[in-house]
Amino acid sequence: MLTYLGKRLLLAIPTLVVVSFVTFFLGFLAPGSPIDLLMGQHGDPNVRRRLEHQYGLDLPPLQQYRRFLINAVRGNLGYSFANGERPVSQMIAEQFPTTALLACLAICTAMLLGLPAGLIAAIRHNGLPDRLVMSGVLLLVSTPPFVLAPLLMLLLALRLEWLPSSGWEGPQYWVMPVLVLAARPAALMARLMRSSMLDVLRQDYIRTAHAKGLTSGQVIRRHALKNAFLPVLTVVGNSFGYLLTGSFVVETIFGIPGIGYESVHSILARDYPVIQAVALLVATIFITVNLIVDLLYALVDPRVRYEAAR
Amino acid sequence: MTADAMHAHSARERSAVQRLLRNPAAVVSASVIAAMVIGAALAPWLAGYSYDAVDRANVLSGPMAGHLLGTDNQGQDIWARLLFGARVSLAIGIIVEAIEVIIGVSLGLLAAYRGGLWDTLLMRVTDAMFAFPDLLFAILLVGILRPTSPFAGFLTVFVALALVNWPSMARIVRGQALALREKEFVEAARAIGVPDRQIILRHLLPNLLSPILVAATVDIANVVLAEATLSFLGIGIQPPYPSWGRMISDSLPYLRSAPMLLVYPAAALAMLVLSFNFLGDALRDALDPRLRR
Repeated sequence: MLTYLGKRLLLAIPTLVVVSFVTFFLGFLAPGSPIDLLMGQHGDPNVRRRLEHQYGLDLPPLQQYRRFLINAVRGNLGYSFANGERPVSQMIAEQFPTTALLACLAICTAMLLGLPAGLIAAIRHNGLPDRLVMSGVLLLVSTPPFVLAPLLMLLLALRLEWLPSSGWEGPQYWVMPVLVLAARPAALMARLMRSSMLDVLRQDYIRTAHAKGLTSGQVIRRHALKNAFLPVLTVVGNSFGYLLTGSFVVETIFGIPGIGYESVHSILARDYPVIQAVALLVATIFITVNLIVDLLYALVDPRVRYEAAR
Repeated sequence: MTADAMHAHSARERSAVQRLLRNPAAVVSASVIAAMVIGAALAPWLAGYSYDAVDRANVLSGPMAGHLLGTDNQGQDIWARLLFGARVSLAIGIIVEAIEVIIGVSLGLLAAYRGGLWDTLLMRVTDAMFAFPDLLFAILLVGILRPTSPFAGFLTVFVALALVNWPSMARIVRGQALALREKEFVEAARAIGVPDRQIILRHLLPNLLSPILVAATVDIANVVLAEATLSFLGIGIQPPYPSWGRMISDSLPYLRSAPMLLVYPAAALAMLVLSFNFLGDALRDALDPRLRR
């Protein structure tokens, strides 16, 4: 188990370095210097030199990258160009909890909705529940958050006036953003849960369990469920990537003060230090979550552990 | 291919088409896609207006004579903008997917057939790409490059989406090709001295067509959604050229007073994406009945 953990950790580091390298040097591809933005109408070359020096932009690119990496490891992610030169790490520390809460609520909602739906569809294979669930899955997979969000807003906030339409001040504000974010992961989980369950139900040991006289409920609870759930774990991990990107859209629509909202603003304002930091943060979270999922997988399924240890 | 094999091949295709035609969801979604393709192609003739024509006398009008679906907040004809928006969605969906298929199939085949360094390289690069939420990468790429001219804008969106999406296609092709390579008929071909190039083109590729077709169809839906997301966030297709994603974000301030501004582009987008998803599922069922569940 420890060997496996060590291997996976070691593999995560080069991936992170590649991601940081790419996001850092993407900034160099951008047309125009960020200093131009900062200077506005000023043309004073002295001011420009001072600013360039302050942001380390007068160094050779590789040295800038090294500085960026070393500072990032120390928790210093640079200073925002647009936001009165505030430290980026401070901005992230303020906004990240909101996004994290949103993402966690969404993933829990998705699991609560998606897993039972997929299970019912598998048990009633080709029956009405199966058809309903599968149609729902296709519908939700095809409806992007920026369509679902305004539609919900129109219905629940403007017409029925059950919920506030935007803001982030209490649990009643959480409902719509969480539902919108959870829709696609829930659909994907339901689809995978269904096909995984169908696979398991075809196995010999399930027939054996039936043959020795267990009821269907017992067979599913004791024998099928655990094995069917395993592949779904991967989707749960991958959903985090979607949730982080989805938060860009959802936070913008609902006016939620999180990382996504900030990122969209930074992208529109070309605030590179913030964009780079967000990219690095998202990649780190995504890699970490997938690492945890893989470890859980190895923990639950001895076959994976055995494969990896060799 | 011998005459017999050719015959068997076309018979299999015929029955796949028949199975597809018996599936009502497939027929409906293929018709929706066909209708949108025709609408997009004939947009200048069907629209009645240019996509940037402004009718200042009628702003935010409901459906009226001269404006089939009414006008938006700038007095632009919604029907015309929907049709020209379909051009953007479909062009990006199909062209990006084509680029992706070309890159993914060639790299996937190369990795599976040559193995060794090629395979390791492909797997490591795709691993790194998968380690990053794909749409986010496209958002960052387009957001940082932020091209100024409209043409460069289109190009950046194309490149970003193709760059982000090819790895999954390469993985699918690699996996399928690896399995095929071990089959007896490929081994037999190799044993009688058929050159690699011919084995790949004549034996592997034809057998890979159905998984590629299924994956590509479903993937077009994702590309269309990705473009709409970029445009929604304001970094995709730039005005005055219409994109459904942009129309949706422009409609939000008028959600209360003119909800139809949202409903039209949202419905068009959802319908197109749903159709590609349905068609992909139906193709999978039709091409490989064994997978049917």
